[in-house]
Amino acid sequence: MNAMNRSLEGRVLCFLNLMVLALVVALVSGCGAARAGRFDTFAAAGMNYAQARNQFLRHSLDVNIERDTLELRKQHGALDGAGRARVVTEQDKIVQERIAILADLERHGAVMSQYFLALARLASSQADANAAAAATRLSGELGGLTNALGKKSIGGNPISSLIGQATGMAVGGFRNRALERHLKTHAGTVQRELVLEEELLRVLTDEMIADRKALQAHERRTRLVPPFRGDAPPQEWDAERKRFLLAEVDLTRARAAQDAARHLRMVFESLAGGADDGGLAALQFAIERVNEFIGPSGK
Amino acid sequence: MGDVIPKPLEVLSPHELRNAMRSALTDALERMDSDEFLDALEELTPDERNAAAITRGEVFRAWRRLNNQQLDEIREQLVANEAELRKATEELVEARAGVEKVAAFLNTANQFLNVAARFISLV
Repeated sequence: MNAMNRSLEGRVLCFLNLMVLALVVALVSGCGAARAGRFDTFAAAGMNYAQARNQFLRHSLDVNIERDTLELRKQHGALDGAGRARVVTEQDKIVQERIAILADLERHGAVMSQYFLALARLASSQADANAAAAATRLSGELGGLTNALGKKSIGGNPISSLIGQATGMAVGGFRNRALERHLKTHAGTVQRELVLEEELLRVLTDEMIADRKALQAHERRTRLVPPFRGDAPPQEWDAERKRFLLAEVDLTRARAAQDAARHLRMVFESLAGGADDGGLAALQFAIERVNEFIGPSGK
Repeated sequence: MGDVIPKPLEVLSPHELRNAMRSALTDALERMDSDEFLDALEELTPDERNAAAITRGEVFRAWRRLNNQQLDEIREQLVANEAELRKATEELVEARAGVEKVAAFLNTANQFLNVAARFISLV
């Protein structure tokens, strides 16, 4: 039985040596852990962006249809029956084309969201922590098997805690190398995606601002100007005027989605280029602004 | 800094030309909503006002068609990028599975040694 114990202890010590070697390897290969953490934050922001961007697409369609209907009304009195039928058919067709385009873009948003989810899962350090905890428990069990191992320490730290750290870092190193491989192979695809997203939101935002301006101009012309042309505008006219003027300022908030898309591209390019941060805080702030815009006040 | 001199229309690429047209139509529609334009319109005869309303409708539809065209092109390019993006996603999922295998291996080894430790303490 003693011989069996000695054989087991030898194997355990051999395993310990391998783990110490892993510690050294992990210290070298786990240097990019902080960077992977940045990708974790970036990927989470990307998922939030994909969700907010799809809501923005739907909101842009609402505004698009409101403007379209207003333009039909403006032509109504100038046309005979046949002319009215012709323009409503033409404009319905244009809106239906838009609905089809936005439906495809929204479906594409789901593909983009899946990408960010997969990136977040890989970049997350949760697997490292799980592996480190498992390794710490493992070395604790090894210590229970042999007194020699139980008494060992490196630099005053119990061997079990060092093995745990080494394993966590080794898993982190594995994760970082996978991330590097991903960037080497697919950075061009992701960058192309984000450039197109930025262009998409620029076109939609320009149009949405023009639509909202037209809707506001019509409302102002029909509701705000006529009472003032009369002898004495009613009491509520003052508050109404203030609301119209402030609505002009509110139009600039429509740029939030375009800003978010631009920040998303810029952060990706910075992180893929090796930067540590790349403007993650600005990206998160821009996405918050999109959510504010498409929230109750943006509708 | 001096003002940027716009390129003559003949030298614009189709993309630039469409952007220039979109921009011009956006401005035209916005001017048609100005107080100056609408006040001037009120001075015209009913027939002239009708003609202006019909022209506005035509400008509006041309503007919308250009916007749809541009969005359609972006959609096509995004859809063309989709296969590569899906492939990138699949590879990320596979890489994540590799990371999880390492953690799973350590858990299994831990459980095995737990059993071994109990066995040794018994003997």
